[in-house]
Amino acid sequence: MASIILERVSVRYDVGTRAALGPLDLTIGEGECLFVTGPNGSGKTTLARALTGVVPLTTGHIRMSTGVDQNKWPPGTVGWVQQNPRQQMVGATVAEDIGLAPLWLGTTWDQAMKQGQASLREFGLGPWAQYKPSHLSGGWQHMAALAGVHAQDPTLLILDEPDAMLDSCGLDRLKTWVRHLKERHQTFLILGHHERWEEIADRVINLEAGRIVADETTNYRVNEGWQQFLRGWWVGTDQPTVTEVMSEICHGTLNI
Amino acid sequence: MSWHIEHLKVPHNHWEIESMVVPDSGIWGLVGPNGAGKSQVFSRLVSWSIHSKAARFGLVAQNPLLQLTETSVWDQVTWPFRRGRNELSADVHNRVSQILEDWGLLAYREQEPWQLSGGQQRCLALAAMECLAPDVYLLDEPLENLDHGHRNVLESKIREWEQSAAVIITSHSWQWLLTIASAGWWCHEELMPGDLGDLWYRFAGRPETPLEDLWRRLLDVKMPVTPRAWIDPAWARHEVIKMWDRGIIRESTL
Repeated sequence: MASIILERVSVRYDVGTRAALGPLDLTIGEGECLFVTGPNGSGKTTLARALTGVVPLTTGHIRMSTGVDQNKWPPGTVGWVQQNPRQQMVGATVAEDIGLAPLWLGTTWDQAMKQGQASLREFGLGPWAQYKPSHLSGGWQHMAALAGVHAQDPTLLILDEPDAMLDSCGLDRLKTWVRHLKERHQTFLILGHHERWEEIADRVINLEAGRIVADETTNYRVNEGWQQFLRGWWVGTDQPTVTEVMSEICHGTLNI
Repeated sequence: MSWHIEHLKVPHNHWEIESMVVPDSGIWGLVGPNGAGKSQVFSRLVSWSIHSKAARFGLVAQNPLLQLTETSVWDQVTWPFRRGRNELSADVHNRVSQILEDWGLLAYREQEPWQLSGGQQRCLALAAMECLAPDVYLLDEPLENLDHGHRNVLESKIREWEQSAAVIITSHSWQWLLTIASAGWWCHEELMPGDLGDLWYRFAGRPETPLEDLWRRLLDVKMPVTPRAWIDPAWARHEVIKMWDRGIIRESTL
């Protein structure tokens, strides 16, 4: 695995319209987690499309730092959970859909099913395994799409608004998985709007009108004092007590 | 005037809404876990409204692309008004233009809807529904894919719509829902009406913020706090100070 380098990349959907993306230069470091944010229509999903190769680049190119050009990357290098998960679910059942990526990547049927079953368990999809994907709710479809790319085990993972439509259990499961990805130094991009990803990401990239307007290392923007004060309590070691927290709030020494 | 609906089946989940009163104004939340049947409730309500002809229920679906059928943004919002005519009346033209402008879509009027970003597609579906001005707006996860600017637009639009129509919203963002709506239904094998703050306390999952967690703990020990005060730090502080002044906290052994 190596870094992924985008050089002068731009994408234009129609001749005569403005570029939906770029030109931009970006290096995604090995094992790095990037949170890509920006207003609607700023080019986040187009960036995902460019990295997965589903839209042709108008200018520039994408390569690994080892020199391998994007069109020579082996299948399954990039895993993408799309904004609308229905667009990527093609299996007759949820279990079959999740097993398709490993099967496509050349594993045996038994091994693919085994990998699929592990993903089903990891994402709590057991009860839905034999359902048609179209019969799942929006949140569970999203969860099934996440399980599908988990089974694919790609080199670069792109999660486009992964928290959309998830309830609190689904969100917990997603956050646990994302932390697990970080621990094993998976290279991945999270595209979205919610500040919760700033806490997890190594870098935050801000796009506007297809261009990078900010690229900074995360500096824990949520109220750090409040978080630190509560950390002991928050993780369940019983310190500080609720009364102490309330006292701090009352005396204005804790900014909530 | 409100609408009383009875014995509405939720097919995939095999349960039935025994009785539901859909109000004619205000903002209401429909909350429940993934897979509970919230979207099915919405589609059944639309189906009921079509068959009963009692009211016009307008659904903005979870996946907006499913309801964007026209070849340009402008056609998408104007087709119900054309009815075979090429020209729109000046009133309709101005109103539709203003709505597109509000949602930041007027500059994209000639663009094909599928070329818009996910957030813009949702805005377009919402704008198209606003043009139709239904009696009841059913918004299925309207917040998803929207950036902060468009969330503000959505919020102000909802407050505008609730004056003359009911707005029923599904969302998993308790904090946002509690900010905008005060009552609603918990959906899980039945529809249970209630105050949204109470529903949050009874059914919401693991807290996402320390303040939400603190509030849950205070409610657990029956502290006199408003269930929804955690959504606003200033309001939460006010309630904490009130309790402190009354000596409730100092004497507690929490």
